[in-house]
Amino acid sequence: MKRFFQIVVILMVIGGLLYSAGAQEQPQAQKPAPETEAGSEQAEMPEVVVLGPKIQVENPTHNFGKMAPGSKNKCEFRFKNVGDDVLKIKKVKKTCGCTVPQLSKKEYEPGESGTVKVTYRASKRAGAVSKHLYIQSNDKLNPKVTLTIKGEVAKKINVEPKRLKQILKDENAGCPPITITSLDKKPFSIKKFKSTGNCIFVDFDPTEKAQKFVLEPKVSMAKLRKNPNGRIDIELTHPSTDRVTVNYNLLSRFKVDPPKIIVFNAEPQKPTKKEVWVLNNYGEDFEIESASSEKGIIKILSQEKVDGRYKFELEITPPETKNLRKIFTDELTVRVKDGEKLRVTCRGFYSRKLDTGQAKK
Amino acid sequence: MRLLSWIFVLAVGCLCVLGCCFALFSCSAATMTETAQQDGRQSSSALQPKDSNDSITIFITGNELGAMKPCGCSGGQLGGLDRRTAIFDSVAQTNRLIIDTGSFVETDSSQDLVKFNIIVQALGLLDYDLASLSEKDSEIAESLGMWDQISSVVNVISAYGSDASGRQKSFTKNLPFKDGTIAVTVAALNTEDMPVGEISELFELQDDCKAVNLLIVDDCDSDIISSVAEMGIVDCLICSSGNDEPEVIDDSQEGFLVFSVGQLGKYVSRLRISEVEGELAYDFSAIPVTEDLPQADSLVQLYKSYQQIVKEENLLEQYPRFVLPDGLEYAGSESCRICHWYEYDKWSTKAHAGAYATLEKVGSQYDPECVICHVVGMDYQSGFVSEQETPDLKNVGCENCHGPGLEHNITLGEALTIEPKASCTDCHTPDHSAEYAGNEDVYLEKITHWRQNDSVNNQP
Repeated sequence: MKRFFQIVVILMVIGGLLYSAGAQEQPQAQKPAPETEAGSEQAEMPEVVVLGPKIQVENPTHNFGKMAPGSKNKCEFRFKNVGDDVLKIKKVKKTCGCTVPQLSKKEYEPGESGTVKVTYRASKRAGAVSKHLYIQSNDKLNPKVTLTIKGEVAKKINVEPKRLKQILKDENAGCPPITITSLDKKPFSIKKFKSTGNCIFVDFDPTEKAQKFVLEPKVSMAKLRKNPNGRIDIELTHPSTDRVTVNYNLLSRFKVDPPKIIVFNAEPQKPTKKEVWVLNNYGEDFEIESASSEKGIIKILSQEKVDGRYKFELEITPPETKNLRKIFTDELTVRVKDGEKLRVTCRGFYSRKLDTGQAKK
Repeated sequence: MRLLSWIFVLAVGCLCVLGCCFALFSCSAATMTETAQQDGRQSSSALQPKDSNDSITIFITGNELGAMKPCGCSGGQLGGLDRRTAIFDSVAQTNRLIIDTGSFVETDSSQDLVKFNIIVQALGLLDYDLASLSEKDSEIAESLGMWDQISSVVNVISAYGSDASGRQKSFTKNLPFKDGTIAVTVAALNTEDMPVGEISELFELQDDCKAVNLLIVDDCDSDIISSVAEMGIVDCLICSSGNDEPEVIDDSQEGFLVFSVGQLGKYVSRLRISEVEGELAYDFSAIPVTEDLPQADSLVQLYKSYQQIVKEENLLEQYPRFVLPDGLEYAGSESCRICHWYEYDKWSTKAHAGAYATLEKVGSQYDPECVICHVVGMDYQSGFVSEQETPDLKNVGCENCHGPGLEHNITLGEALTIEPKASCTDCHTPDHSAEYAGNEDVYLEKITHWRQNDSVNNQP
């Protein structure tokens, strides 16, 4: 009987211990997960007196206002330990690479204040900015405080046009003036003007300061033919914008429409028909000498001249795919009688059904 | 007495078993919560039953602007098409709608056109229900004759482009909700083409089921927001451009939510719709696409295809180049060694000297956007063209910071190296070198290759 009661007592102790372990575990499972999503706000504090460390941020949002593209901006977030135990900052986490939090120390006595210093380099893209940082601490009720930095990356210089369309037959390739304007009214000078292959150049006085410049570019036709696509970089002395870029394209003699042949949902050995037109952008009469495919995936079904343009009917037969290769490529080369070669890339993406089929096998 | 004892033992035994079960259940619940947090599927919400019809989830992305995956130049970068599956699959396919609001690329350069095709294919692989083409996307689709092709991969709407292309301006999908269905209609609006007052044309009346109307607008200023709200037709206004991160812009009016989708695919916006006291309730959150999310193999393979196309199209050699002033030319770091052997030897132990190899490791050595920051002088004639043609100009070398050196070499140092000299921030940008801003001194320390007592003369 004595032995029986010993067993009963042992079982009661084990049962009780397991129950209490379960009861301790349960709140942890139901505890709300730390907020890791952008846009979350600082957790609301319940109105109960809590012992332990407690973090209070003076102003969890900092607005930089308007920032120049690429500019470096700094701000500080002040916080205070309003609890009654040592506040330990575990980490200051950021959601993106644009901010660098720096903390001089990690432990704060009750009543002690600290500062999170943030350096933010603005992107070169204009637009609204909203970034988040999180202070992780041993404050049990508010273990992750969200800090937000806001602002707007605003252009300080405007350049027009942003792209030049050059035309071979027009005088000076039809190049329009380039206007550079200071949007913040701060005067600037032009330091340098450079273009791809030096095909576009301009006269300017680097000592002249103004809020607006209208440049009259000159075009070297021979160089432009060698560099039909490129860009112009104009270096400035403006305090927040050191350069502007203008892209240019020369209207080529021939246009291939569409310029690339794209096949989605391709299946091996299942041919697709496509139509490709070749025309002269300058209205000149022309003859096509030959047309051929590099890999034989593109087959020319017919070729005819319609109203001064050439129409090609093509058949694209995707090859068998090895090792679940996702794409196939080929190139159609069209040779014009005066020697100019036009290249038309063909790119095919195999159907995803194929993946499933092969996986099932 | 014996019977009483047995009853007592039985009761204690039951208590013991209950205790065990309770403890085990608690442990497993805790583990599930923790796992959900670790794999990035946002907190406890990821634990909802996958086939529950109590809510529907709409995932929204947009403004990829050519960013298919983070460059990987520094840790902690967000984004990557290949990591989105992990987020989408946290909700059963039948209970979700996935939308991209467009702006796949920024320009119509050769490289961006390649990216355009790859992103369209990626949307198909990721099971997107709908893509709304931006003005630029629409121009590209039209110039490449690709409208039909894109529609064969994913449903397409657009507020731009010609009607001749057969474009649609709205799309509806019915999703199971509670005991019936809910019709989600997504429309795209270009306010220059259609006044806000006419948006009712974009949304059909749903008599027999609940309906949610989403409107995608490019230029979301306060006037447009208030005009759309006044119409009382739209439940959620999606601002497809603007903010760099997804964010609620306005939730001040009941039953009308305005939010942005962010840029560069760093986040996936999630809109969960449920019913609270007979009314539809909207819960918006932005899920970061973090490095610890698993990559989908099909998307990884697609990115490799992109790298292959970039190589085959020879984009590196086609890169437009400026002419160096005054006949200057690059000579390569090796040529500096004869006189500056101390600096050369020091430099060769630093990360800059192995910059090109880091690209080779990830297969990006043919991608101009990456290569430009891992070689000497790619912006200029006589600078890096390819590994075969200009092997001496691989890596971030002497002439990046000190300027082209051929003349300096020929004159045995009499001619000083001059511009163009690159500055650190040309490559250490916020997107590619997250930790650089504010840590400039630490970074300078990493590349110190000059004699400390002669630092003034040797620094660029």
